[in-house]
Amino acid sequence: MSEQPRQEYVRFSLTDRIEHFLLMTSFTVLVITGLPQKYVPAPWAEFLIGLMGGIETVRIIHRIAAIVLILESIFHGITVSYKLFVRRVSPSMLPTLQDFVDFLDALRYNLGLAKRRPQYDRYNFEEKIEYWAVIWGTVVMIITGFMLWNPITTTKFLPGSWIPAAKAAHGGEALLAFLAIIVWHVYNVHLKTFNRSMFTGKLSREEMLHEHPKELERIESGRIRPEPPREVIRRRERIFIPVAGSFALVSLLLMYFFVTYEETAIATVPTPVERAAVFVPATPVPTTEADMRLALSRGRAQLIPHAISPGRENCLACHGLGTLSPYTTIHANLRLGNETCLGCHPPMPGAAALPGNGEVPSFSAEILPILQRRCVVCHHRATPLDLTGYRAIMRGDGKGPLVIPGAASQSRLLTLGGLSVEVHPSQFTAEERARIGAWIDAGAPEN
Amino acid sequence: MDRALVRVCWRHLFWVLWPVALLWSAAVVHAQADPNAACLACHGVPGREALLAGGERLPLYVDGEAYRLSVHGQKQLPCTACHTRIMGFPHDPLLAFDRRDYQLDHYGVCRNCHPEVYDATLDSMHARALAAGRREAAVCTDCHGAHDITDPHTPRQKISLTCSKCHAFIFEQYKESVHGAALLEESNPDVPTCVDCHGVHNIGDPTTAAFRLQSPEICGECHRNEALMSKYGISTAVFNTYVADFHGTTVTLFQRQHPDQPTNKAVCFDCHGIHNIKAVDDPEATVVKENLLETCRKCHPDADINFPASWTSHYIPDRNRYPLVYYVNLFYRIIIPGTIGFMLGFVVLDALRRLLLRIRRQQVVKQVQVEAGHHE
Repeated sequence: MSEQPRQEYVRFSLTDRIEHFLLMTSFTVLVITGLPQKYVPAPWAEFLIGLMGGIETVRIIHRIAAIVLILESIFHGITVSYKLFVRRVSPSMLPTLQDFVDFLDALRYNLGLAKRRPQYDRYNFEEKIEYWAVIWGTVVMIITGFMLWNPITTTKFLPGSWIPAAKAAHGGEALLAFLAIIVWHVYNVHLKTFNRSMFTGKLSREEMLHEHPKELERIESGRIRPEPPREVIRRRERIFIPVAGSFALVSLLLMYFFVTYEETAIATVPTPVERAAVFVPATPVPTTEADMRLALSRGRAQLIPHAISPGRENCLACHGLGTLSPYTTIHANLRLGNETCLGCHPPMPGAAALPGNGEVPSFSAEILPILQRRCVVCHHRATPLDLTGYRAIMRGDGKGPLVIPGAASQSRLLTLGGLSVEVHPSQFTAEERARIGAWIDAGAPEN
Repeated sequence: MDRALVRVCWRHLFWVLWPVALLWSAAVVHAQADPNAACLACHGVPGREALLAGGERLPLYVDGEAYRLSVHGQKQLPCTACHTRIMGFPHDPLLAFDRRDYQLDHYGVCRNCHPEVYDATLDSMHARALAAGRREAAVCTDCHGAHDITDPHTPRQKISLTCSKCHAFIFEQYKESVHGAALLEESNPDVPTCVDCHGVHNIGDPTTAAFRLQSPEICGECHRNEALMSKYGISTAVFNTYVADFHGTTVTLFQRQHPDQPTNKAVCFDCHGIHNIKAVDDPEATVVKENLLETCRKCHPDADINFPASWTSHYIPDRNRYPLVYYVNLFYRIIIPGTIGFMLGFVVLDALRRLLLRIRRQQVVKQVQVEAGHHE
């Protein structure tokens, strides 16, 4: 048999070749889409990214290729375990001392110090270096890639600086892998001799004799581990398949989880830090009615310089009716309020609320002393309008109650108190008016 | 003397004084050779107004001194250089409905002398707003003034104060910012005023995707400038470190390849703020350590306490700052040349050996052929 000229030896099974194809395509795509991202300010990198449809598209392609590579890695774990645990082939890819000796011999031979090339078995040290480099590289890339893909999840467990570190490692390892493939892989299986076995699956006897003489010798002398009998394989498979199946399932679920779990960022353009009203004319405070009319006609009335917060929706509760303190001359006799105010005076966006918000003024501690100071000298128990106590105020006079709880602008306590000085000599100050208004709007409680 | 008599006397006096006043002003015109004296004879009187159809009053008073000091006054331009419709006295009746109508009707004359800047404004946001019917949108005279035009950038604060006339709210934020405070308090010549970022006459829309993508370049114009930044001890690495990072890489690529496409990756102002930008060590700064997580969460709502440290804060990692990143980089700086060097060395030796073998084999073949030839 060995005398036949076209004798061929199976080197890679169909599964091996499919795996190589998946690895080759995903690796190539990852390099093409990944390295330009690493070198972005460089013109060549920008050119390539533009060619591939822009950075967002490139990232999507990169991630799809990454998923293919991860799937292939899971698959590889299963096929290798099948070979080792079911078919019990010898772990010929493990590095041995012999590999180191072979390396030194090869070096000596290449330097002309030895006459004979080292005789290799199934996998020589060159192939082992490549295989383990791929394993190491893939593990590093998958781990760091996941960290970059899921930075928020990662930083829940690890310090933040691990993310830029992962990015550095991802880029460094990528460059290392790319250069190693260019130098080591391309030279060894494309330039040195064009080794087609990864695609055809077979090596000729000449190639075997040249590349793997020890393996050839073992095959030809029958010193190869025999394939176990079918029933033994079946028995082992009965354990292997459920274990491998659960491993695959867990890995796939884990991968799915990682790929879809994290919503790293919002999908919309971030809203600006400040939401600024653009056209806010700055005008001097109008002091005459003519000025005000002018300001109104140009849409340039002043903005309300404070927030309209709960308890202060009612402009007139603080500013009064008719005189609109402190803008008395401008608004003299306008006799308009609230919604009408907002028509000319939109609230200033982002303005702060006035102090004293939310809290209800105490009747006994605050409101009553004001009334005693301003009102009671005229409006006491002996007069039709009695302002000496809570009940009297709530009862009012013959024309009805003085206070309508919750409606400061309709409460006569304020509207009467807002009459001009000529008509009503005693006047509330703006602050007193504000406190009384707040108290009425809060329901005028007897507190 | 009874009142009626006094009134009659005054009336007569008026008719006597009026021609005298006219003659006197004509004499003044002649003596000073001020081309505008004739105009100012009437328009120099404070309080004169014309009632417009819409009920507004158009002030007719012009402060002659302010005009004389203005850029146009110093060139002794006559009033009619701008008021081209005034052909003599009496003037044609005013047709403007209100004051704004009058302004909008007249600012076009600026183009007669300043066609380039005028045409530049036609692309601006102001022109667009005006075309869309917003009469308050700024035209030439709103920013530069009319009779009292002076150098628009002296003092430098004047630039931003001019914009503040209509953009008061933004100005309020700007004046609290590190840039605005330096401008307003010390007239700092280096900080940006409004126009340094927004442009002057052709002010574009700052809310477009294109402006957003362009914005890091705007910041970079100053923050990449070593001479400028060294004055304030600010690192110029901020721009390159931004571009080297995920956000900056994306934005830079978008800007060059799809300049009108929106991207949600952060630009400078997303983190630092826009008009209210604070110094990075200001406790109110959005990027100061205490506020950084909140800032990150605007885009990364699920971010946790460790997350902000995943951005290297414009620092180039070294032994003290981000040592892990530094050592990972160092590792690859050693391991890449080491590994590839080893591989290259081995491969080259192998190739040389094979080449040598082939040459020797060919020599042997030749020798055999030669020997065979001899035998024949």
